[in-house]
Amino acid sequence: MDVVYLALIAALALATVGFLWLCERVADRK
Amino acid sequence: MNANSWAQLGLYVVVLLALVKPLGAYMALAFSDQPNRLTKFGGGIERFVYRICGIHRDEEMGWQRYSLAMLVFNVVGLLAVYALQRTQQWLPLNPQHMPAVTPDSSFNTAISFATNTNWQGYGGESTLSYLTQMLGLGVQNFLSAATGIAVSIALVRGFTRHTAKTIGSFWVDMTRSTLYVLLPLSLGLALALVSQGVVQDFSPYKDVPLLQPTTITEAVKDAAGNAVKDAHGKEVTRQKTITTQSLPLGPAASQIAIKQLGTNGGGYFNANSAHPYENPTPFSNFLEMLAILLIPAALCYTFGRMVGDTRQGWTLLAAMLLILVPLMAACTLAEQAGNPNFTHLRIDQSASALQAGGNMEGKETRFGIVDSTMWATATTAASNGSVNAMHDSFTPLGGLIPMWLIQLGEVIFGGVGSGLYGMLAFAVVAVFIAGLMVGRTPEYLGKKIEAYEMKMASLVVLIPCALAVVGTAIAVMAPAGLAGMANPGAHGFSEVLYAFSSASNNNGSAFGGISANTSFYNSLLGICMFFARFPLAIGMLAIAGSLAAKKQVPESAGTLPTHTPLFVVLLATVVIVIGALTFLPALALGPIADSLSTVSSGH
Repeated sequence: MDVVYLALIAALALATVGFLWLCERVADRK
Repeated sequence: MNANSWAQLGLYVVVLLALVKPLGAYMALAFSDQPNRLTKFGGGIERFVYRICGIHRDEEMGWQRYSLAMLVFNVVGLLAVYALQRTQQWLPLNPQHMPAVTPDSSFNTAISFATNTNWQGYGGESTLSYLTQMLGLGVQNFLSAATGIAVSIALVRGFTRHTAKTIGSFWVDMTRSTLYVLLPLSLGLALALVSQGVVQDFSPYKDVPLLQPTTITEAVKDAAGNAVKDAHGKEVTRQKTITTQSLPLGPAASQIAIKQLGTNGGGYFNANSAHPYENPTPFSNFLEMLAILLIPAALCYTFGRMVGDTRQGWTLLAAMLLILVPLMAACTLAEQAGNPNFTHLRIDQSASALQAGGNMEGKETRFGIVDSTMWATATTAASNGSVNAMHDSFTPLGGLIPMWLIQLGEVIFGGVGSGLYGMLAFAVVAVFIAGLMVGRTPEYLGKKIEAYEMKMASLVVLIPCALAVVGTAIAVMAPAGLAGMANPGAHGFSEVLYAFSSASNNNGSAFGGISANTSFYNSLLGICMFFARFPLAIGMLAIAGSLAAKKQVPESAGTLPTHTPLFVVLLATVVIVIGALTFLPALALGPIADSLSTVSSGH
């Protein structure tokens, strides 16, 4: 089960990095 | 409310306000870009920290790098807490030989403490070793609070800087938050709490004889732990007399001080601040309650000082108080009114020399109704989440108030730092609405508020709302979610709604009543807590970066003054309207329906 939860943490972190990237893209476009 | 109730409420607000200016000015010095007497005094330790951590003090960051540093630092801390819980059985400072925490509970707790939520699905004294409590949770209490302060200070720099590409250094802000603000305040409060009887030691739990032995009926179990049944299929029971009690001990005071000051709220013991070793006396109760709102309130003044107009800070604080104080009084009134059904049964619920009166279910007799309701509203206004009474036992309307305070987005004081940046997101929305009304480009503190800032502010305001309602909807539809509810109907729905509101706004308090230590709730609430913290902080840092890059706009006749009573009312109204519009339907299904059914069943 550890692998599942560690993978979930990694997925959450990656999704947040994706959100940061999107915010940056929107910022560049203005 | 009688004179005693008003006096307690008044004393609390007066002492809190008296501390705002000195602490706020002190924090403004701590985060000043210019050298000053405070940074000179602590400069030696600060430089030592930078040297061993390889930090270059003058190396500033753009908002993207600041965000990434914040995220990576917190995820590493999260993983460390996860690993500590999973390996605590092999590590030192475990006199009770606690086994490893389950993976799902470790996941939930690690996220909970990294995000400053401090939701607890476990009981501290029956689950965690001293090392996990100190090195895992205690350290995260400091670091998550420091992260909130760092992000809020970076946002303030966004307002104060012009045509700048950077908003400060995350590492410097973290160091200064911890070194100058959190550590000294925590040390002082921890010593004060020890003086009141809060425990602080490493000794094993003590078994002591009960003053009055008690007899219980327990199920007989076989060697495999299964209940033994008789020939008719009924469980076999036996009488057992309990003569001793195990008293949990440990390094509690040091953790409780930062738990309150850092708006963390995670209890050392399962009963949280209702436990006599966490909160022994009315004086410790007052100190802890004060600590809950102290830094979020003082940060408003820090904000005003840093932007060069302290009236701006007082305005934010006034808007917070405008919402908090009436709700504090309303919650007290609801609890003092008691249960309407008892009136029909001719049960005396009035306060007298012999009884507290009102609804005392789930409350400590040491604190009574007023200290319980003031704590409940303070802890949910701030994203603290510690409790000294069980919110599930409040009257439906009394319980609605803490729940709604959480749902307002944790901006009425809110978390340390996160409350300030959340309220500033609402301020951006408020000036935008005001700008729409008069047909002018909105400005705030000399910066034009444009589409990008509004998009980010809207995300910051709406993400927690979406997480709370979607999470609740999933839980009340899924069998695993329904299995955790202890009560049927509206009250059970309130329990689930409260849990997801608490996790999705990083509050962490529990209404109680649901069995949340299951893989379903641990996983879903963990996901909500994570997304409620880091994307929001990134959104605010993006606003900071955007504002810092802008030019200062000179004030003109068309500029909306943001330091007036009118703006206080506008800001408070925006917070209330968004909170009411988003959650009124859900509240109608939960506490409002619960209240109506209580009243109708009494006739």
